Amino acid sequence: MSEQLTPQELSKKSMPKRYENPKIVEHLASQYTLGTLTAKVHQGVEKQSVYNEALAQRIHYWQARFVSLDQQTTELPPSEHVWQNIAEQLDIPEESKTVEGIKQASARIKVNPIDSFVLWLKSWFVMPAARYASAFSVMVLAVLVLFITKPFNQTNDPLSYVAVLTEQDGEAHLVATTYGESKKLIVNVVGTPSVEDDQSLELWVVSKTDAQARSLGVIPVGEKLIEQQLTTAQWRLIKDSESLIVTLEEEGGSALGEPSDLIVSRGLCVRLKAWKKNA
Amino acid sequence: MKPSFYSNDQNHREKTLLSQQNAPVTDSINQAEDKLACLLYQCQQGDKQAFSQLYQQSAARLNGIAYRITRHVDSANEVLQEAFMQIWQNRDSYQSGKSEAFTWLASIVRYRAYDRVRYDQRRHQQEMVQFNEMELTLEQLSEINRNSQQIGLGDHSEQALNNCLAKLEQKQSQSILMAYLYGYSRDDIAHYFDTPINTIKSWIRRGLGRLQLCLNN
Repeated sequence: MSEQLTPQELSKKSMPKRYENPKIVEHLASQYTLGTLTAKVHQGVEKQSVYNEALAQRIHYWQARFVSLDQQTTELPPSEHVWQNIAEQLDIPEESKTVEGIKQASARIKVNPIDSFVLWLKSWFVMPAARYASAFSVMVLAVLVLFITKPFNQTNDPLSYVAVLTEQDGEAHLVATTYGESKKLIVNVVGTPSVEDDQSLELWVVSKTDAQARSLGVIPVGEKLIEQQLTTAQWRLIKDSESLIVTLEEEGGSALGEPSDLIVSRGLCVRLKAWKKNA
Repeated sequence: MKPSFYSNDQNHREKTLLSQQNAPVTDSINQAEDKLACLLYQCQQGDKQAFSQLYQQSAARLNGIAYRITRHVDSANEVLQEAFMQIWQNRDSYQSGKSEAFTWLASIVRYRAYDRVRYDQRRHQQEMVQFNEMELTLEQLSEINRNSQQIGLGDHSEQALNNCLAKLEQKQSQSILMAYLYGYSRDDIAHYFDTPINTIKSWIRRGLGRLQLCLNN
């Protein structure tokens, strides 16, 4: 019986030997990124990179190194007919066809937090196995906090924001959730690092608007579940939050009203309006 | 358990302070990046509304890249349109763990724009039209010089690239930037420097080698 090969295996078998030579792979990947290969070789590299992991990795490496040049490039809003043509060709519904200006549109962008989590999980799964455990535990943790503490604390209180704060090595430190109607902050401490007697851990909220950090208070030593009623001012800070950070401060918290540069953990705030809607 | 700091020695503290100074820029890039990645993920589920949002979120930036290479507003718009068709068709090939969303999108636009520039160039040559666009404009030259000499601005990756480009021989960094920023082929660069193409290949190859060593350090 003849051997059955998948398209990938077939392609690997027919892969020219030169694509296995690391020096040639490096040369092709860098010149591909730079755009200096001839059209024929460029296409060849593009096809091979689908099956040749080493080649694909080197292309990603070079693209990631050069992309800052693209990020510095001045924006140029396209003509309105560009999107109209695309929408027509892809049969995209009418309401999406009107582009109301790039700046207005970007303000309207809403990303479903469920998708954020799924995407985040997907991205972790392509990382080295050593990081699976911590990534997975953080995710389980977040889900547990959302679905266990919610009925426990605030049965009918719509959850508004969640932030999973992790240490530099990816270990979860704490999960902070806020509830919209009662304006309560629930902090679930997962893995507290030990601190000296003359030191305290302080929680800060970093503003989206001015990138300044403002204190939400000192985290009490030894407590695993902290519930705090937020003032109107603090609630406004949460609504404008980009991320939360925990810093190591002198006992009782920062005397300066500013966080020290000893950041123990940090995490982005995710707004959970969509979850409420879907619940 | 001792606290594990994001910075735990003086050297790292300085870096942290530096990164905090750049934090608003870096954070806003990270936020935009997260949005793009989420939208691409939604596109992979077949969500055309998400594709519309992806366009709204990134079109001006990507059109800027297309214009940088084509130097022509209409051509840039055509490149953008083709690129977005390709983005939708190839959306499943985007892998969030392997590449940043903006990097993936920008690469598609760049390669489309390079193709466009070379197609236009061939067409002009066939039509025997006087074609002087291969002369570097003063604006392009100042941009290249700025990029090859700029040190200490922007976020870490931008700084690293700028620092390393500045360490290359000027002709090496100029050749690399002419290719990347404006889509010049090796023939075009050879014509510009009035130098054999093999010399240009050698400049680029050595320049990239040194750049890699520098970036890895």
